[in-house]
Amino acid sequence: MFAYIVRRTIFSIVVLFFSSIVIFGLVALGPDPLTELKLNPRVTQADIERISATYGLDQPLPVQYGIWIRDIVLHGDFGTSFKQNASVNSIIVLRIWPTVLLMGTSLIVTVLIAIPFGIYSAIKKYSALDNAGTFLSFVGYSMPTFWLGLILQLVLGVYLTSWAGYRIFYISGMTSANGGGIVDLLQHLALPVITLSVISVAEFSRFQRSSMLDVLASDYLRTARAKGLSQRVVYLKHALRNALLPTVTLVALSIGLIFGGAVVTETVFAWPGLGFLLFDSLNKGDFNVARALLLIGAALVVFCNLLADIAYSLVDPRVRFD
Amino acid sequence: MSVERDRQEEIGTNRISRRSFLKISGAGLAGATLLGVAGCGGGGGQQGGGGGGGGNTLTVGYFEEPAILNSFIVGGDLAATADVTAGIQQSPLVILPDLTFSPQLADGMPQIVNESPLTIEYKLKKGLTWSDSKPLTSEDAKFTYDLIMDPKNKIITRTGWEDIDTFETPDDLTVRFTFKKDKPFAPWRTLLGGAETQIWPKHIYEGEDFNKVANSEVVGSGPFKFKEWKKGQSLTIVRNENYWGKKAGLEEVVFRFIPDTNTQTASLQSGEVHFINPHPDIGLLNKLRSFEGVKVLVASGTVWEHVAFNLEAIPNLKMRQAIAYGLNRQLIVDEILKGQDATPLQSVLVPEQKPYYTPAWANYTHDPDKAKELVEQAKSEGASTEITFSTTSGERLRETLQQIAQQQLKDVGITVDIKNTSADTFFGQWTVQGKFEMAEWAWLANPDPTSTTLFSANQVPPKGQNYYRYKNDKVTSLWEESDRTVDENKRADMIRQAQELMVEDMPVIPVYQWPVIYGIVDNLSGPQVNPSLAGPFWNIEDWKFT
Repeated sequence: MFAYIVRRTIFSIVVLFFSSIVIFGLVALGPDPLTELKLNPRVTQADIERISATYGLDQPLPVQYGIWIRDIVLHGDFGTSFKQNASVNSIIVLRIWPTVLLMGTSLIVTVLIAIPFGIYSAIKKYSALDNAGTFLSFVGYSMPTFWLGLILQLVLGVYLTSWAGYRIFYISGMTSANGGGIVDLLQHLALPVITLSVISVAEFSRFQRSSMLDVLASDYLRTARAKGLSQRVVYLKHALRNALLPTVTLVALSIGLIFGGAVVTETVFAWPGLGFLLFDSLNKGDFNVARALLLIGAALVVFCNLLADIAYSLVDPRVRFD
Repeated sequence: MSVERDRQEEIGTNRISRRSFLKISGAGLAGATLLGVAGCGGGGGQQGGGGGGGGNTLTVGYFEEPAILNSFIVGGDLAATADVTAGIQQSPLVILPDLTFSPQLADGMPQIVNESPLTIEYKLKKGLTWSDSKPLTSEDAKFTYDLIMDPKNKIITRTGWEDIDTFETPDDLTVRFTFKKDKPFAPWRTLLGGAETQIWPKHIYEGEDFNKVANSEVVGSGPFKFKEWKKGQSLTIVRNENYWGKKAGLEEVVFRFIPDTNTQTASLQSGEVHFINPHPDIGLLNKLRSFEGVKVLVASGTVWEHVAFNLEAIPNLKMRQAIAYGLNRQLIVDEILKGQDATPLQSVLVPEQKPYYTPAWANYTHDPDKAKELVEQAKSEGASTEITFSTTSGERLRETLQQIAQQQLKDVGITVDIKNTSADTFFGQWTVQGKFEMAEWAWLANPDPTSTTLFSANQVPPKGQNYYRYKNDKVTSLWEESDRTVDENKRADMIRQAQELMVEDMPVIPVYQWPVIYGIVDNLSGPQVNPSLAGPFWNIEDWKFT
């Protein structure tokens, strides 16, 4: 058991190491942060050389990578932002809360809607509501976020406001200019949360439905019914607990993604989170910020997978340790 | 003697900046659906006004967040930095909407007190103060010059400044600087007005690290003061009650950072923001005009789009002329600038660049018969009638032009093959290395008309931006000499002559000026389109709610 955990951990570190090389390389191959300066006729070749030396861009890539990864591993320091002239760590810290708030809320909303709905669909298989759910899930799942976001902005942000005569939903940002308060925050939070939730509700509820269906068909449930237990007890006590397991895994894995933010949704709604920051830093050629965000995202995914593996091995005796 | 100097900056450098041309696919995706969404309705009425803040607060929906607030150093070269600080910091001169310079901190226009060596002198207005009520004097101007020349500072460029020999302040109000004898800098006004020309307060920043002081707040002499910057969200400036001039009409201005054009327009439509300055798109103008409670201002901008030739790939002049006759530029402009009533651009400067502009390309109107004839002649001289046409992918205005051109040129016997790439590759490699035959991009025109680095024989990359590989010695010497000629009339003669010569060689076909579009709630007065580097907020002290 202990050996298994150690092995998995070592494996995760190796994966992370390779991801760091890929991330570093991809960003280096991407837009040249100096392009813009090079295009400026007023900026001379000497200016470019001076600036690129300041940021270590004149070094060969392996050396740049070495310095970058050394500072991260030894000091937890992601370097200096090329554009913002401040430490990457301080820039990222400011963006964590908005992302956690947005993604966390949408995850909670998703779970609260998707699980009961999935269970209901499984119990009342092929009922009108189940069929409607299947249909809507396909629609929801195949809906591009940016498009859904725009439609919600128009319908709930513009038309509803105009029809109701007062504002219920805000279209962009996290708070009003001079506003604060929980109501103002919720008014801003609503549309991006709906956008994100529509897609994940579609995914989660289908998942819950099929795992519930698997369980419902199993022998021990027939036994439970044969014992004369009420439907309620059969479903909620015996079936649900087993049917929830796969969903719990899915939720656990999604927690890793929470910190990655939602690039498209955050950008469309101008939500000041990590996803928006990633979009912005790629746009501005702010390479150190982009690398840090990508690496943190990769680390979280690896870490959550590791946790899931370990948890599984603890919970499910069928998982072998060797 | 490269007076590459100033100011014919390529797009992607300043003002319209990366958003337009170096944009990544996320925004591009959203852009693709714009028409679809507009089709859903468009006319929903919502009285603008109240939404964004309360009372006398203006909320601006701005397309990008500044990285830092110091426009002089690396990271400050975004349009966002210039725009959010436009109300805070001031320069000796300001660029007006007609591209002329006008005094801001200077008392009257600067004077040339000596032609050789070139010596410029200006006086500051009496009674100027910083926002903390301390006086603004010539000492501050000298301090600013020293900041720029200090090698420790990560200044983006010292072009022009480094040719100054002496910088003097004879008294509190007078500033005088003399260029080195062999380096008279004809575009000297660009050191006094426009981007990166603000004067910095000595009493606040002396002895501080200039690379850090204005990263997240800045002190100036303008009608507004910095108040607060919520990273990722908004930046707020507030009225400077100590302002030396007429007090601003607005109490506060909040810049909300909204990268997506659709979100910007929806926010304006719903009254969440009061002002937007969106990236041009086909149909956008008519969409904005359909909003209730919103007025729209539009003007031809200083970013000018053109069809460019790589003269090494298409050396045959008749072929290039055939393309110039074969393109129906008016029709292209009507389609791309729908709702604006524009005419094709007729030179490599914009008409606002008086007295330097001359409509040299005006004779090249659509003439398919002549084009066909020229194609035949070119063919007999061995020219190929198959041409690749490249530009930055994901920019709808450009892709539309390509498609129309492809059709129009097919009609005169030229096969156009479209081959695009990302803006970074396009500007970073293709143009620089000459990996294109026919291409399309834009330049940013400035009040000063110098275009030496674009069209001189000795400015082929890596030295300059002559991506056309255009080599005409007469044209080269005209541009170069114009940079050394301080007398405006003589200079204008040379530059007009250069344009007339250039049309004969046809290295480029100018097509249109990018429009500058403002969407404004009805009850806001004051905005006046300024297509120059001064940006939309150049006169923000005059804005008010009615």
